[in-house]
This record gives sequence, C-alpha cells and structure tokens, in this order.
Amino acid sequence: MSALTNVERRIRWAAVFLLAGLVVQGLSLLRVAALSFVVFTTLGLLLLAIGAVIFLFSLLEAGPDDEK
Amino acid sequence: MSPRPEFYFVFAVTALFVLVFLARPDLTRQRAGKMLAFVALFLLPVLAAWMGFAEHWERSKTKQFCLSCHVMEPYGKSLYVNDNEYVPAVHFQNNFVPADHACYTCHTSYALYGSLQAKMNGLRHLYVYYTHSAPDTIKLYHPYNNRECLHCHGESRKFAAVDAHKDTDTTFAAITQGRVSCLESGCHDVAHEVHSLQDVEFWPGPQR
Repeated sequence: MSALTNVERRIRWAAVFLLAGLVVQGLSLLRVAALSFVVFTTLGLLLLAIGAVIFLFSLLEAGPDDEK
Repeated sequence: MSPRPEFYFVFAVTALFVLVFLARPDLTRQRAGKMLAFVALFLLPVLAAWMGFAEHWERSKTKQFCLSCHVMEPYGKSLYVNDNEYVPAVHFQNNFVPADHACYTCHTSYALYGSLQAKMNGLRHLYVYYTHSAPDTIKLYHPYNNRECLHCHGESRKFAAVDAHKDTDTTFAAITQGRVSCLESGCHDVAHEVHSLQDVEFWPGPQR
C-alpha cells in the first residue's frame, strides 16, 4: 500500500469517528435506561455526524481531478 | 428488551464496511471504491443511526425506562398498591393500560405533539436529575387534563353508565370539556401518593 493521500487520511478519520459512534450506539442499547438514551443522542449521534461530515468534506476536497 | 433482528444486521454490516475503509482507505482510488465508500461511510451510518434512534424512541415509552431514574422508584412501587382507590394502581394491575407502557400511556398528552413534548420534558428531567437534586415532591406541569382519561374512557359504555357522570344535564359536558376535573373534583383523586406508601398494602404481582 503506497502512502496515503490527504483525502484518504480524512476517510480514515471519518471511519474512526463512525466506528466510535457505532460502538457508543451499540453500548447504549445494552440497557433500557434514561442515561442510555442521553448517551446515544448526544455522544453517539455526534460521533456519527462528525464521521459523516468528515467523509463528505473529503469528497469535496477530492474533486473530479482525483479520478484521473 | 433487545433490538429487532434487522437492526443487528444493519449495525453489523455498517461496522464491517467502516472497518474495511479504516484499514484500506486507498480503496477509494477506484471509482467503485468511491461508490462503496459513499454507501459505507454515509448511507449505512445514517441508516444505522436512524434505526438506533427509533429503537431508543420506542424504549423511552417503557415503564422500565421511566423507572430507571432513582427518583421515580416510589412511583413505580405505587402501581402495586392493593387498593382500588389508587387510580394508577387499579389501571396497571387490571391491564387497563399496557403494563410495560404504563407511565407513558397516562402521562403523554394525546394532542398532536404529545409524544415529542413528553420527550422534551424527559430531557429536561434528566438535566435536572443529573445537575441538581430532584425535588422531593414531583408535580405535573399542568393540572391533569381530562382528555388523557377520556382518550380511553370517553366513549365507553361503563363510563357513560356511571350515574355521577350524568348527575345533572351539564355534568357530562363539563367532564368532557374539562371544566370538571376527573382527578381533582374529589371523585378520582387518589393517584400515586408516594409519601404514604409505607402505610399501605401491596399486591404481590401476577402469580405465574
């Protein structure tokens, strides 16, 4: 595997945040409790949103030239 | 209470694809990789988040959820009082409300945004619970609305047959229009009464 480009590094960061969000979501579903709901809606959704936004920004940065 | 099987499937597939791009972000150098990345790093996480939110939303309607805060424990206990005068207890013990959704059924407004309003109030309660000490006596935001009682009782034969509900020509209308309160007019005024639970007898629960 050759050195990663900036876009690929961003994609990796996006994946890290998304995975963290999924872990939080999974853990929050282990118990039926008010605190689980709060952890999911604050931390879980936030991490997933950050991951998705980083990925979308990486698409913008890549642009059409990146396909050549 | 565990999530639906399709949730596990979406969750597992999403986690798997995200792991792939975590390990090999260079897959996006090809067009197919880019398309897969869009599915794996955007569409699937959005779907997983939505399904997770829907699951939490449903769970937040359960008695177990409401009673997960220490301060609500006496209210849960009051559902087992062995006395027909206790309105919540008689509803819970006779399955007049779904036993696992007992709190939500009576304490959610049946108006258009009732469910959303209940969630917003719930978040406020959590904020108070974790940042301040909860008040000793928990009060309703507004006097209990007859609408919530009449949602089930309003059209029932049993309700209409009670003489007190049609005492005068205007009594029935006064009840249905909320001018006479079901709970505060002296008729059905024994609710949770959490401060006197040490003096009452309890129903042991369904014998299986």
